[in-house]
Amino acid sequence: MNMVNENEAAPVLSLRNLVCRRGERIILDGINLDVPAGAHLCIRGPSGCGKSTLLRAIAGLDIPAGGTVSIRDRLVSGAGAWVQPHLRGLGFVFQTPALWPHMTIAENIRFGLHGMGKGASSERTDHLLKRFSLSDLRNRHPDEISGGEARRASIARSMAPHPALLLLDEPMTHLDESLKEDALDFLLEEAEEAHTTLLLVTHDAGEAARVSARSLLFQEGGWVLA
Amino acid sequence: MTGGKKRNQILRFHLPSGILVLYTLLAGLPLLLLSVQAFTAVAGGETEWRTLVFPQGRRLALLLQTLGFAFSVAIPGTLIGFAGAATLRFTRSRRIRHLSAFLIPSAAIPPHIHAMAWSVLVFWINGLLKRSGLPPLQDQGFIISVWVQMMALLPFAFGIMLLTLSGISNDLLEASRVTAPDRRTILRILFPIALPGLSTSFSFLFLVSLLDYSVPSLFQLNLYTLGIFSEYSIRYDASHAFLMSVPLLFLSLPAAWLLQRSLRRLPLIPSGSGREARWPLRLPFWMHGLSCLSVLLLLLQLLVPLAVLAVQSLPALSSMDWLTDSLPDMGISLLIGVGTAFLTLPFAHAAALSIDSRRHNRHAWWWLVMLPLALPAPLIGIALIHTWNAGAFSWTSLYNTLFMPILACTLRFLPFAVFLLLSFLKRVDRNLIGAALILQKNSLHTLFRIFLPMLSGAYLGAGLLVAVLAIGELGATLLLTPPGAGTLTLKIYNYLHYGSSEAVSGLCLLLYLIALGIGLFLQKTATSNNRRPA
Repeated sequence: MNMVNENEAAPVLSLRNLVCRRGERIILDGINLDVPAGAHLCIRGPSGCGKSTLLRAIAGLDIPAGGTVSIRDRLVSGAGAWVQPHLRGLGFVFQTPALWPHMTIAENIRFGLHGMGKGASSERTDHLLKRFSLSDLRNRHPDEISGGEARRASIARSMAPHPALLLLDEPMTHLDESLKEDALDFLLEEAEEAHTTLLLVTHDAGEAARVSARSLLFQEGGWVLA
Repeated sequence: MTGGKKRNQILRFHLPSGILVLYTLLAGLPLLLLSVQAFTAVAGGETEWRTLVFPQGRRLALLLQTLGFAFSVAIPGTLIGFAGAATLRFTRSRRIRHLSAFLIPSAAIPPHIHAMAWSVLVFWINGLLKRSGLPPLQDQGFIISVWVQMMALLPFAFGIMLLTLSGISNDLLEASRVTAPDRRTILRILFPIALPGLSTSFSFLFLVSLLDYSVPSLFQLNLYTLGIFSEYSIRYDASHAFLMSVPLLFLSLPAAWLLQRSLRRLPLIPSGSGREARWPLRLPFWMHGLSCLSVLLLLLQLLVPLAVLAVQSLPALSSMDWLTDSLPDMGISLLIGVGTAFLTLPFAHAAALSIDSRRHNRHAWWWLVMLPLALPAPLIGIALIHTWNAGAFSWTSLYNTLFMPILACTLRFLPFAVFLLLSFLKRVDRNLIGAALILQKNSLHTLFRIFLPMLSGAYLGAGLLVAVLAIGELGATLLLTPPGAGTLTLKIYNYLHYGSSEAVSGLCLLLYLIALGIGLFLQKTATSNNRRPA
């Protein structure tokens, strides 16, 4: 199977023969994929087909059994290489908001900006709080905000360090339609502006259509680019 | 209100409240009467009260030594518990993860067994050192007391921290891991989220070490609590003992407040959202060293007593006289253990239900249940003596019966049973109860067919836990055991003062195996109740 994109832009993500196992079971078997910079790609398929495993392997949260992962032409996994997750220059949005409960919303967003100066990190935090309509909630803790607000805060946090590649693992699960629309609007606006590459795992065909014209689909036992 | 609703109200609120009022009467009244007696003595011209409440000289030194002892046990014990639990929680090795199945149950092993084993080991090591011409290790005093007390309490620290870390979703850690190095994830994310567990562990270890004198007294270390017991044994003056306890209460009550506050924030439900950690944490050198050391110490506290006692008691196996001689004491211990379990369970049930409810008085019940943890064991014993021997309850003629040590153990160990029941209650899926309430014939139907069967393992576990703790209890039973009746723990404790023997080692080994067996059973019960409903 080969799903190399015909787009000529330099790929921000390259997977070659990626294999992931859970115990004896093979979850992903020889995935090849190039995703060009700034592209938005949805990943769809039934439960258990390996969508989340794929994202986790790219992020370095799971260790692949074989194959290579390269991000911005840098080999980060496989062929003897292993780069820790925080050095891969990507963002990750989990199925749960996963906001740290002991930090305020602003502190959650600022956490990943440790490489920046104080002024720059404050400016970036303010920008994201404003962009995601969270300015009024900046000093609240995660248990003091709603589910939709927590979801927006989670996306804002993952985009804070300007990741070249943002991985989203069903980030809109359990949100009602209007909140989902809002969160998607914020996400796409910020991604367009920052030219961020998006990989979105979703079950929702409507959501997939809004994010991207292209999807990586698991059909009849194999992956196809549709 | 319909009959069914009324019955439901009675079962859910009135009955537990009634049981708790009875508990308040049994636990609170003796202490209240004791404090009234003390204040009356002060008002009546007791001149010594200032020196008792504000200790000076030898008493102040004793108090500071006790405080130093408690801190010396609680701080390293908590850190080792945290590092050990973090190692087992995040390791990729299943074998290492399975160690927790043995480490937590070892909490049931009474502290004097550890004292026995470590004193024998130090004796052996000193023999080797002497032959090599090297200076011996201290076999008495502060350092060995701290070491043994810490070893005895490590499984509690480890268990509390493992419970805390299991409640932290992997998503929270991984969200940090994609933007920050592991060291930062540990210090900025894991540590602060685990803070309730750290403060629970610290305050528990601190309280136990502050108020329990059994281990230090075996190593000739005088602590303030032993002073209370000694002075009461000489004077038989309850007011004096109460006033002497006041400085200790100034230290123990804030610690008990911290403990109950931290316990309330402890995640009692294992996080189901995160998959198992599939990556090892990359730790800085010093953290890696600490985690290896902590696992080693946890293994030592489990294996040293077993190995030493087994070797030491081998000669005693040729004749089983020591066992037959101890049968009456074992019988008394068993009666106290079983009696404590039966008396504790209704109180624990009522307290757990009241604390788990959303009623406004739940904090008051929580605080009331935790209060005995802040009281020195001799003070509980003294309060009970003066209420049941010559005071308000003397007409019952229950003094000089086994009811007294059973009552004392109930008061001392009720918090443990409540905590265990509460942790099970929190895991019960409310929808299961909701479904039963819709389909039930009446509220008793739900209580007996759904609620109690679902929690049967928890009740059995809580009963066994307090039984094993009561069998190992010393501070209060020393004062309250009726004349002519002795417990296994008292017998071992008395023997230990005269040095170890094969027979004592045999008894200790027996108690070790019983305690560990019960601990393993409790662990199995707890994990089988972890299963979530479909």
